[in-house]
Formats: sequence, structure tokens, C-alpha cells
Amino acid sequence: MDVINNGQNKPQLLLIKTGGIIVGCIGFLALLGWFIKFSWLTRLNEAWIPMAPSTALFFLLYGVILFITNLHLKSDLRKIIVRLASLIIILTTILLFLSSAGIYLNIEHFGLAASEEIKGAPVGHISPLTAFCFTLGGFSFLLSFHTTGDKLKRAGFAFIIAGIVWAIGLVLLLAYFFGFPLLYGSNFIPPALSTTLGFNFLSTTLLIAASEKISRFVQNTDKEILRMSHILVFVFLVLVAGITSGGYIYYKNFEKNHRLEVENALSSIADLKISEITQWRKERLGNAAVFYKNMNFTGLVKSYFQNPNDGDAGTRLQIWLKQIREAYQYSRICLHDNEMKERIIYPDTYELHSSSFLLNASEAINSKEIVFADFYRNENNNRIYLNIFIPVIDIQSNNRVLGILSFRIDPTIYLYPLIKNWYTPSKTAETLLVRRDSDNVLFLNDLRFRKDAALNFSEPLSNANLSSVKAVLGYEGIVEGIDYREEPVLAAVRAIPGSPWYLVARLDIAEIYEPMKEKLLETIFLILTLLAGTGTAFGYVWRQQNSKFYKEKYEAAEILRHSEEKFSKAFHSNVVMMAITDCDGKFIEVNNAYSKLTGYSRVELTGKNEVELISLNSSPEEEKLSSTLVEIEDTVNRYEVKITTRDDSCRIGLYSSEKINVQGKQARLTILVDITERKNAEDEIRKLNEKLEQRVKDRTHQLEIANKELEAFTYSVSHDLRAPLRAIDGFSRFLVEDYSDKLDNEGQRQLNIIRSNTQKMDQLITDLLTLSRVAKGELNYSDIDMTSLATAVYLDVTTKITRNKFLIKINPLPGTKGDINLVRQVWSNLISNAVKYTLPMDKREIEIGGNSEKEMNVYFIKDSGVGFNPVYKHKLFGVFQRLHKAEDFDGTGVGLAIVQRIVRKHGGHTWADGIVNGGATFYFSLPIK
Amino acid sequence: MNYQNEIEILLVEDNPNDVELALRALKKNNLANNVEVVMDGEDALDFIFARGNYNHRKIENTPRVILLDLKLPKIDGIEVLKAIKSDERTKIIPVVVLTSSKEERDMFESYRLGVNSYIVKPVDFDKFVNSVRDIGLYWLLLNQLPPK
Repeated sequence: MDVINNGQNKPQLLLIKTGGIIVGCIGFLALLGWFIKFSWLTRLNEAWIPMAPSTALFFLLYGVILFITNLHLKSDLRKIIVRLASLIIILTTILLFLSSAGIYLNIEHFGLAASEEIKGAPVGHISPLTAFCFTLGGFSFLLSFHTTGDKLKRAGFAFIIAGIVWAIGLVLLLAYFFGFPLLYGSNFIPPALSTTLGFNFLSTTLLIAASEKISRFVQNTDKEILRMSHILVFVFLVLVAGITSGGYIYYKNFEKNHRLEVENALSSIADLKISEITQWRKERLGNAAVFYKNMNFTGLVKSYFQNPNDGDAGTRLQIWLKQIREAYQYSRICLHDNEMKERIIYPDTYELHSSSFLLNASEAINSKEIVFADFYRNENNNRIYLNIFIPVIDIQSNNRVLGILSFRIDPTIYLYPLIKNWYTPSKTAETLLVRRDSDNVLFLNDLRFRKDAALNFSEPLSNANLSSVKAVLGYEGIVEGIDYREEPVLAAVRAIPGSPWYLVARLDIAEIYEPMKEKLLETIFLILTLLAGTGTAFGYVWRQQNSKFYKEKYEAAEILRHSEEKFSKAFHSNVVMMAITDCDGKFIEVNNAYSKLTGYSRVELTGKNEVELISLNSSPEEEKLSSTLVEIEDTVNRYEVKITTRDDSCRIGLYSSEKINVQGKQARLTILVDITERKNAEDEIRKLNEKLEQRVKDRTHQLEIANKELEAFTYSVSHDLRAPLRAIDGFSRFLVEDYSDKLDNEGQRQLNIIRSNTQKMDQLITDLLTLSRVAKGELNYSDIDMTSLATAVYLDVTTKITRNKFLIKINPLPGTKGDINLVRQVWSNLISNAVKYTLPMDKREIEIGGNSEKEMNVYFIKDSGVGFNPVYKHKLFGVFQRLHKAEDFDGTGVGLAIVQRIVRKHGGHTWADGIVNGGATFYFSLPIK
Repeated sequence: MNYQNEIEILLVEDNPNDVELALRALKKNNLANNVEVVMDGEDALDFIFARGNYNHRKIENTPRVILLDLKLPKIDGIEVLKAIKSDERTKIIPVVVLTSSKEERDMFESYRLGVNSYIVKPVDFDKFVNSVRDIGLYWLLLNQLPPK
């Protein structure tokens, strides 16, 4: 039952149904033909055997069961079908045995008149081959009908059995197709053409039925295999058609050549015989001509007739005629006088002349010409003769006829054997000699298949199909017709020149086609062998492809299984939250991390939709998650989402999702990364950054204010502090100038002290301003040639007089990048210092040098001056720090501080070495970059 | 006004001490005859453009040189300089900034506005006298102005 209720292959079932209808119709039409006596329906061609009524009934039954099997059947209807099929098998098996044994039951006729025989086979009875095919068909049907569950083998057997029937049907069809049914011509009943057609349809339908069952079990409805199979079947069918038509053409070609050969043979034989007969006739007339108007012969006859006792003439005549007869095998030679009295007869036996004899003789006497009397029958001895009559004419006495000489010819001696003779062994070959006898054709020689035909048997000219009639009517060459037995024959027909005779050399068509039957069998066998070979090859290829396909499929499945295993492991043990949802967001599967974070168990989650847990973090339209994230896009990447856990706390996650295929259904693989901690840390950092930024802003503001104040301050210092100094100095001077008479030397000295202190104060202000300018100004970088800069500064800060006191050595210095004004200030301060502190010494040497170290250019200035106590060298670069007394050396104590500040601002360092009274070396470094 | 009374030097200086110092320095060099002293920027502009207290003046009677301090009450020296140098009538008057400021900013700004000289007042009076003498000699005697 399940087979029927299973999914059915609609096109195949339609084909089976159609096949059932066709088979049923074939049976029905044949039966109808029998009943209404319209024989075309039963046999299609008069020459062939009709389908037996029993066969027709079986076809009808098959049609019915094939038509109804594909309906959804109730079990009782199924039972009926099975019984019908079983009945067919039983009945046809019985009929097979009976028919093989030559026992034909009249019940098969269903009371219809069918008593004919076609080539020895009785009409109206089932052929054993037909019965056999029906039996096989029944088995095939039952097997495929009963194919259920895993009984694939049944369908396979059904297919093979149907295939056998199909092959038999094909052979029979080929036989009919080639125009020469194989099985005709014995008492074996051949299947009719309509039966053959019926089997072709029946077997094809059964094949489809079986293959439909097979295809239902072979689970691979895989398109690739299916397409491959279709291609193979198509190519196979094309090959079948090719092979069959190739065979057909080969056979037809052979047939044509064979027939041509036969025709040639017939023509040659006919020609040969005609030339022989003509030759023979010429000789006979030649013999006659020797005696006709022969002076010697006439003289002898004249003297013999005038004096019968003239022994010499008589003897000479007798010897002459005897020699002629023996030499040319005339059956009888007569010499009559002109009153028809026999004067010399040879052989010398008495015989009555036939009625035509005297007629022909008198004709010869009257016409005075040689007369060749055609075949005639001698009524006295009932034999057939031909006769030549030669009038004996006396030329000297006014052509008087003296008598008549006759040569009688017995055709059985030479002529009939000549005609009868055939040059190759043949069962039906025959040569006929005929002549026209008013409206009939008269057969002149005895026939192979009819006794006493010579001169006795004639056929009317109206029977135009006869080859002999065709000959008499003037056809020459090869004609196809029937012979006196009404057998179809092939004949070469000719008129024999100089005679009323016509020659017919003929051969039964059946004999001609005898070797063709063998050839046909051979051809069909060859075709079937080729088809079987091709089928096997295709089957092999199909199998190979199939097994290759399954192997690949198996391997792919293996790989898939492995990858699924891997995926499963990766899925479940992943620390990242993973879930598979359907397209609407409903959970199908979640991993441990997912349930751990959300607080729901895996089972609880399976009922939920992810929208219940997850909402977009950034967007206020939280509801949109499902539509924007899940439904529209194939791949969702790293959306920030809020995850609501079971205890209603909120976590932040990164949501990625991708469309995947789970067992043929669309689904989504979702990955959630918990970024709550990171997010919090980020927030913290952001807040701190904000605070920091605010603080920086505040500080910058304060700094700006401070800077402005400082600027105002330094401006005031620069401008306003100097004015009082100038006033002090100026008015001190006025005192000296205007009141010099009132001031003693001590007063003047004190005023000078005031004035010199104002100078110091002015210097101090200038230095401090320089220092503050260095601190606040921006650096203006440019390439600096240090050697020439140092040289220029040295020349700048010293007078010629001073320089003459010094031994200065300026080594080549590495170039640098820096603010040239500030760097000049550095050199200025350092060189001024060196000059200042060395001047009091006896030995006055200054060396300036420098070299490139790793990332720094280091410069130094070494002097032989008073030096300093290295204990205090850390104080050297401090503001207002002095290691010498003011009265010994001028100075504000700011110069080295300026140097240090400038160098530091460039990213370099300053340091110094020195010994008291042993000189000092000041170093500074500037970055090379 | 005769030629003798024509103002040759306009001294713009708010500090009376400095005025005294400057005048004394000028006097020492016999240059103090036709000096007009104004104590702030407003007076300076009134004088130069012959308005306010100085509206009896003719604007064409321009001084030979203006000695201008930068730090002035009301209108500072830079503003005064700007006004002088941006008016076609006064543009050609030589202006010498005489100030205590050594600020680069002041120097740049003055030169940008078209000052003719920039002199830092030395604290040392002797040097101050020398400077004033040099200025006077240069602008009043050595330098040639186009005819009025």
C-alpha cells in the first residue's frame, strides 16, 4: 500500500497510463477487426498473419491492468489486478506449451471463422513466442507491482524481464521493418505485426513501471546523477537508432546487390540460350539450303523418279540422305514425289504422317520455297516434332517441282535439353519457350512444375502478371511477375530473332531471397550484439559514474561530518556566546556561554526569541532589532546591543550574525561578545579624559593669564625700571656738573658710586629680560654652521687689543639645527666668560671644539683662566650664582643661567670641568636631529 | 611766526625727569632753541595736526623731527606714530622713537609703522647726552628734507 501512497513520479505514471491505453487499444482494435471482419485491423498487411483473437484479448487485459495500477487503489481492487495478471500468466503458459506441441484449440477463435493458413502456419492461434512474451510480461508486471519496502531487487528483476520482452519485440519489429519476417515459412506460428507493435508498447510500459519503482527507492533524486542518467539514456537511444538504421542500410544494400547479381545471371542465361537456339535454327536452314535448287540433287531425283530401277541414282540418293540424317540427327527424312508419294524414307519404317505434314508439304510445293514447320504434335504417336520442307525444283525444265524433301526434327534430342539446361543448381530456375497462339500464350516445352505442358498448356494473354505473357507482349529484359504456378518470380524475357518464339528465363523470388533470410538473421544478430555491447558499456559507464558520485558524496559527507563535529565543539565550548536562531530570531540552539551569561538554561532559551533578550544599544527604537538586524541583512557585523539577563541586569554585547543553512532551512548563526567590562572601563577612561581635558584647559587659561602678566611685567621692567635709573644717573651727573664747587672729592666719589651702581642695575635688568625672553619664546629652527658662528661671536665680543693677548684655536665644529639667535647668545656668553676669566692670567689660551656623539653634537670651550672649585660646579648654572667676587670680575651671574636655559630648550645639556687657577672647560650638547 | 620761532624739534615725553635730561642734553649741544615739549600723546597729535590747544598753528609748519617716547598717557607712542605716518600731510615728518624699551615687539611695530629711527635711551647720562647730540646733529643739520 505504501508504494501507492508514496510520492509518485507524476510523468512516469502518466507514461504508464498512456502505455496501458495504447496496448489496450491494440488488443481492442484487433478484436474489433475479427468481429467486423475487417482484416486490416488484425494484420495490417494481407501478406502477413493476423493477430490471434486470444492475443488480442490478452493485450486488452494488459491495457486494463496497466491503466488502473497507478490509481490509489483499495486493497480489493489490488487483489483483482493481481488475479488478472496471474490469470494471464497461467493461460499464456498453457497456450505456450500447447502451441509449441502443435496443438491448436479452436476455443482460441472465440467462435470466429479462422481456418486459413499463412505459409504453413494456422491463422487465429497464438504464437508460442507471443505466449512466452505474455508470460514474461505478467511476471514483470507482478514483480514491479509487488515491489514494496526495501525489495529493490524485485523491481530490478521486473526491469530485466521487461527488457527481455523488449528485446524480442525489437527483433520482431526489425524483421518486419526489413520487409522479411523471420519466422514465416514454417509451421511455427509467427507473431503478427500488430502483436509485435503491441509487445513494443507493452514492454516499454513495463520498463517504465519497473524503473519508476527503482527510482523511488534510489533515494538519490540528486540532480547530477539524474542529469547524467538522462544524458546516458539519450546517447544510448541515439546509438540504438544509429545502429539500427546502419543495419537496415547494410541489409538493404546487400539485398540490392544480390538481386542485381541474380538479374545479371538471368539475363546472361537468357542471352546464351537465345544465341544457341538461333545458331541451331540457322544450321537447320543451312542444311535445307544445301538441297534447295541443287542441280546434282535435282538431277539424281529426276533420273530416280523417271527410272526407279536406275540403281545408281537410287543408291546415291539413299547414301546421301542417310549421311545427312545421321550427321544432323534428324529423326526422319522423307523424299516425296510431287504427288506426295513416298519414294525414299529414312529410317525405312512405316509411319503415318500427321495432318499438318501434308499441309506444310503442299505449301512448300506451291510456294517453291523452304518451309520451316513449327512445333507440332503428331497425332499418331503423340510426339512433338518440327519439320523442314524443301521443294525439289527442276530449274532446267521451267522450275517444275519434282517432289519434296522433308527433314523431321525431334526436339527432345537437342532442343529441349538445350532449353531445359540450367547452369547452376537451383530449386526453381527454369527456361520457357513460348509463342503466341491467337489470344493465348502457348508453352512449347515441358515444364518443371507441370507435366505434359508442351503444346498442351496455354495461358490467356489477359493474365498480364505472367512473365510469359509479358514476353509475348513484347517486353524485353528483367520483369517481375508470377509464373504458371502463380508464384512470384523474377524473369529475363526475350524474343528469339527469326522465329515466333519467346524465351523466358525465370527464378522464384522466394529462392532469390533464400540467402537473404540468413543475411537478415545475421544482420539482426549483429545489431543486437552491438546494442547489447553498447548497453553494457553504457551500463558500465553509468555504474562507474554512479559509484564515483557516491564515493564523492560519501567523502563529502565524511568531510561534512568532521566539520560538523568541529563546529559543534567550537560552538559549545566557545567562551563567546553563540546561538543559532531561525529567521525570525527564535532560538534553535545556544551554547553554554550563552546560557551562562543570560542566566537562562538552554531549554528555557529554546522557546524564546532573541528580541526578548537583545536590543540595540545605540538606537532608541529598540523594537527594530528583529527587522533591521535579522530579517533584511545577510550578515550583521558588530552591532552594540543591550542584553537583558534573567535577573534583569543589563549587559553590553557586540552582536554579529550571519545567515546559514541548517538542514536545508534558513537560519542565523549569532555571536555575542560580552563587552560590559570593557565598556565600563572605556566609560571610566572617557570620564577621566574629560576631567583631564578640563583641567588642561583651566591650566592653559591660567598659564595664558600668567604669561600675559609676565609679559606686562617684563615690559614694565624693561621700560619703567630704567627711567628712574636714568634719572638717578643723570641728576647725579647734574650734581657733579652744576655743584662741583660745593662738592669735595669724597662727595664726587660717592656720586660716582651711585652712578656705577645704576649701570650695574641696568645690566642686571637687561640680563634678566634676556633670560625671561628665552624661557617664553618659540624656537625658530634653521641650519647653523657652528664653526663660523663661534668665530663671528668671538670677533664680536672681543676687541682687537684683547684678541692680541689671546691664543685662540677654533676647531671645525659639527653643524647643528637650532634657533640661531639663541645659539649665538650661548656662544656669546661662553666666549665672553672665557675671555673675562682668562684675561688676568699670564697664559691666555682658548680652545673651541666639538664632535658628534650618538645623538648629540657636543661642543666645548676650554680656557686657561682662573677656573673654579669643582665642588661648586653644580651651582655654576644657577641664576645670580657667582663663584668669584664681584670686585674681581664684573657680571650679573645670569649669563650661564641663560646658556643653560637655551641649551635645555633645544633638548641638550650643559656641564663644566674646572680647577681653581687651572682653567675651565664648558660643555654643551645639542641633539643632532 | 618768523622762521626763528618755527618749531624744529617736537619732544613727546611724559617723564619730566627725562624731559629735563633730554633738554639738558639738547642744550649742551645748542639744539634746544626751538623745542616744543608735549607730555602726552593727545597733546602730541593736537600739536602736529594743529588742533585743540594748538589750533592757532598751521599744519604745514611741521617740525624738523619728532622725538617720541612710546610709553605715554592717554594715547601711547605707537598710536601717535601710526596717526602721523598714515596721514599724507604728516607722513614725511621724520620720527625718532626715543624710549627705554628694548622690547623686540616695540621695535618691530615701530619700524613697521614707518619710524625713521629707534633709539634706546641709555641709562648712563653721558651716553644719553651723546645719543641726543647725535640725533640732533643728524636730523637737524645733516639730514636734508624736501622743501615745504
